[in-house]
Amino acid sequence: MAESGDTVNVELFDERSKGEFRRTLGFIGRSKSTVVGLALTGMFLFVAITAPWIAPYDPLEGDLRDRLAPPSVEHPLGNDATGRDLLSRIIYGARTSMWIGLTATGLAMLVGIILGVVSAFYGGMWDMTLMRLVDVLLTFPPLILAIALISVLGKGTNNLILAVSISMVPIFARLARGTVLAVKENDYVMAAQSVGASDWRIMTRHLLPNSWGPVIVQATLGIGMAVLAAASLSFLGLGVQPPDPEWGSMLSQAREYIRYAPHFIAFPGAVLALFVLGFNLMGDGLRDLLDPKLRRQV
Amino acid sequence: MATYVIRRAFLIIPTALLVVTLVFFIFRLVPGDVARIVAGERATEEEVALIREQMGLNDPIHVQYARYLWGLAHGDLGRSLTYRRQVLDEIISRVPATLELALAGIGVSVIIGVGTGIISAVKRNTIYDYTSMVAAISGVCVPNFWLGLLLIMIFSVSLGWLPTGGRGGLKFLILPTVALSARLIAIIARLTRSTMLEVISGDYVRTARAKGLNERVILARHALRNAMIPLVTIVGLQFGSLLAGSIVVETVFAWPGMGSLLINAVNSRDYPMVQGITLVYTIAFMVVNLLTDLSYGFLDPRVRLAEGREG
Repeated sequence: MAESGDTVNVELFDERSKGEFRRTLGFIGRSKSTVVGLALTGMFLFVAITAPWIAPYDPLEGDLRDRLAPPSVEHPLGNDATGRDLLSRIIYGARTSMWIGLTATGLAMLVGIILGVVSAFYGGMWDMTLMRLVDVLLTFPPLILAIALISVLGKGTNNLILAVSISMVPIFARLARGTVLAVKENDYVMAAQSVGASDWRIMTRHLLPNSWGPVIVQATLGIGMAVLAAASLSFLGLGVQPPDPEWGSMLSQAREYIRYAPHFIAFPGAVLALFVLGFNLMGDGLRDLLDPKLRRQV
Repeated sequence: MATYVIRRAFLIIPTALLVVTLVFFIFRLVPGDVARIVAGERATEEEVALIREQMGLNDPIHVQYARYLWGLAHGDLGRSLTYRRQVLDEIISRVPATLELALAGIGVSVIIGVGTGIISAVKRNTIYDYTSMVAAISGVCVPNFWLGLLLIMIFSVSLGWLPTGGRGGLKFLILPTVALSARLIAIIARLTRSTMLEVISGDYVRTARAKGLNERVILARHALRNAMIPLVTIVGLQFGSLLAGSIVVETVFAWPGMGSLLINAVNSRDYPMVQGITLVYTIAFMVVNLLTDLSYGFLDPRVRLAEGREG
């Protein structure tokens, strides 16, 4: 009897899960912008992963006879100043951007969550000290902090990722702190404390899992922001260095040839804008999905 | 109201001190020997040692920090390694250009953004509304440096209507301002639209309509006034992005402001200049945030009353 009871409970749970999943899909499907965001993001992720197989040419090798050539059958998006295929460089640029966006955001999220959770959980002196540090970082206009850090650490992709992630830490720290403060007062947290659960267990098993929603939304939006910041810094010559393919760096090279090669400016910039748009739309969609009021309305 | 202003102004002092301290320590992270960087690769050990002594790099860190604070208090941001003059003098010579661009950017953003948002809210779910909001969503995603290059390509190179760069009269200001303000216009338009939609459905607006007031009067005197507070917040918060954006736009248009000075300084490893400009930008951002804070008291009497009760 216990077994059949368990089977009924498991079946009920499965039905409820499937129902919830279908409702979530339905909610997402009703938002055209979220669908567009998901499609764009999925496309860029696919391109980033499969770049070595789908890029028609080596992004670092070019034929000087083809320099600044307009779009053609052999080179659908044209060639750059050293004759390299622009389509291949844009494809590999997606790989670079995805790497930078995910790594910088991931690092910022990790450090920010630690600061925010510790600050909210312990309160008092911890909260005051850590949030003062976060406030000081927030005082810097983000790109300026990144430029100052790069000027000290040196140019290059790794330092770019580090600088961008440091400038994003305060956002995640404040967000994590806010959500944990709200969750901390729940009964299950007090119950865990009363049975003697360790601080680490409470933070990782109770506080964090119930605070993920807003953090995931911010992370999605953050990837777009990180890539835009990285492209800006690379455009200024402070980020990814030539000849590595990166959209901002490509636009920096394209400046010199603005009169002769409009394709060199149009395509990398358009792709960069679409990348950021995809993550922004997806982040907005996630935010709506996690908003209980909006879900009830739909 | 005076107490409110003074209290807010005093609160930024400890934050400013922390900012200044953080900037000091960031620029102590420079790998390698700063004296060697200044002296050059071909300098002898004696020359490097002399420069190290002149720069005070042999002193303990707390002495260097105290000297740095003392210098700041007297307006001394150090000496530029590239220009061989005081950092502050060079920055001051560039401030008018950056200020001109930033103010033009904010002005255009607010006028066009608010106007677009109001019309979108009033003509909700029309083709105008959909077009504006699609443009607004795109505006947030378009990189300002790419937009700047496109504008140069179209209006300077192809049509020949406007100059490609530099600073002069109004003609030189148009393209950099458009490139700088596009993102903020998009943000303001979306915010104004959503705030106006909330406000328009409020009881006091319904009452005003019931009294027979003209729709324009309702919008201007009742709806827009209440929509101003989140708008002021966003403009204040986005000022930092605008300042950062001006660095990139100045580079695209060869605009002789602080932004292009900063990038030149980074490329030539002129650390005193980078440090000085970083401080100036950050302090400017803090002041704007303070002014944004103070403006709530003017716009929302409830804030003044609440502060008065606490005081």
